[in-house]
Order: sequence, then C-alpha cells, then structure tokens
Amino acid sequence: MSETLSDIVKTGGDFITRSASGGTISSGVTGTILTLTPPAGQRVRLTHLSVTAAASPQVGISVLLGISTVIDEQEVAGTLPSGFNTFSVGNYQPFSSGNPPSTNYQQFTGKTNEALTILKNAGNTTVTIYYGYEFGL
Amino acid sequence: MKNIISLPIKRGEFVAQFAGSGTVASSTPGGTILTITPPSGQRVRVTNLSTDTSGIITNATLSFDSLDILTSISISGQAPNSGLRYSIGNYQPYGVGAPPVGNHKFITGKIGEAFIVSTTSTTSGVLYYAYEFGE
Repeated sequence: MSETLSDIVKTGGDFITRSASGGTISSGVTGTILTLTPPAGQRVRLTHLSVTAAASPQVGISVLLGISTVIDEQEVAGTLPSGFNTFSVGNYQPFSSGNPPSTNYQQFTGKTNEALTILKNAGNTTVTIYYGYEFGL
Repeated sequence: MKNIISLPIKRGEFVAQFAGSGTVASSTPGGTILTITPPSGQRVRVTNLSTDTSGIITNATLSFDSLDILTSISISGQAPNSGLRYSIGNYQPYGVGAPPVGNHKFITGKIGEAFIVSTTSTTSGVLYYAYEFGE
C-alpha cells in the first residue's frame, strides 16, 4: 500500500527544540516514577537517563512513549551500558574496558502529544536516577 | 482551507548546507554574547556549546529568537552534570560525580530563527560553539 501524505506528516519529521530541562528521581520510589507530558502540539525527547558511575544499576525500569513500551523492565546503568538487560540514554561517564556501550541509546522521541512515562514495576528504586529531556515540535 | 504548500513539508530530516564554529572571548561583558542567524529559508542546528575543562559560563540563557530554551544556567564543558549545568555536543571526559545529565546532542530551531546566548554577567572563560545551517 502506498504511503499517504497524512502518514508522512504525522510522523513529525525533524525535532525542533522549544524547551529543555532535567532532574533526578529519588531512591525509594515505586510505580510511575516519572511522567513527562509535552505541551499541546509538541513532542517529548528523552535526552538522558542514567545513574552515577559509582551506583549499581537500577533494576526493573520500563520506559513508555504513549502506550508503546520502548524499554521493558531493564537495568539503568551509569558507566557501563553494555550487555543483556542493561541500558542508558544519552552520554555517559567514560569506561574503557569490557564490552562496548552497545545498549546506550542516543535519545528517545515520542509522537506529538505523547507522554513519556518511566515505571519501576516492582519494589522501590535503590539509587538516584538522572534524566534530561526536551520538548519540541 | 489548507493547500499542500501550507503543510509542514520542511520538517523533514535536517539537511546540512554549511558548518561553522567559533569562540566568544573571556571577559565579554554581559548581554547578548552570541547570535547565530541562519540564511533566509534555513534553520540553525547548534552542535557544540561548551567551555574548556576549567571554564564555566554562568548566568546564561539560550534562546531561539525570543523563546528561551534554557534560562539562568551555566555552560560547562567538562561536567554538564547537574540541573543547572549544560552543554551541547561532545565534551571532554570526566569520570566522577553525577552523570552528564545536562548534555544535549544538538538543538535545532525553526526556519529563520536565530540562536542567541545571553548572560547577565561578564564571562569568565572562553565559550566554544559550532553549528550547521541547513534545510
């Protein structure tokens, strides 16, 4: 089936930044631990998600864009986003041994008006999680 | 009624047509210290905004035209690692402290929008920047 013009337009195209911010998610929380809802007509771009170099990875983290589960119950890493079940988003503090950072993602971007949700599905978080994001067109 | 020309067909993947870079000297008085204006019909993509490993630009606001993207932040080359420290693009590595949560890969404006950096105080280090113009 050929692609329609409306299909092309709704994919959003290149991201145009309208604001940027970030923060931390404290240890000791569970359930929906972060929701980033873009202003009407805008999209959210997750630019960073990690923990400190010294901290153990945070297990059991899911990342959703709208109803799509982008990451399903994996470990958020700091210096070593490598290997099965471990990930981070954005730049990370350097490491030079072991496997390459194959599970480091540059960024996650949603559709227009889609919220980004981060879940801790069972039990409390045990470390601080750092995040950065942009809202844009 | 909208016609096909009014649809956002210019919002496809960024197509670079020019790349440039530069610095803003230390001890530049507060105010608008950097303006990058794309040619007519093009957009600007800022691909690096940072300092050297010892420098920091405080009380900075980053804007596209009159829209403030980040307000009253610090631009930090080596350690963009807190809610108030930011950089754009690659940076020199550091391995201690909080992760580089304030580092963004690049930011892109609308067609015709200028990228502006302003400060409320005299800069105390060199500001490095790089950018692309494109469609």
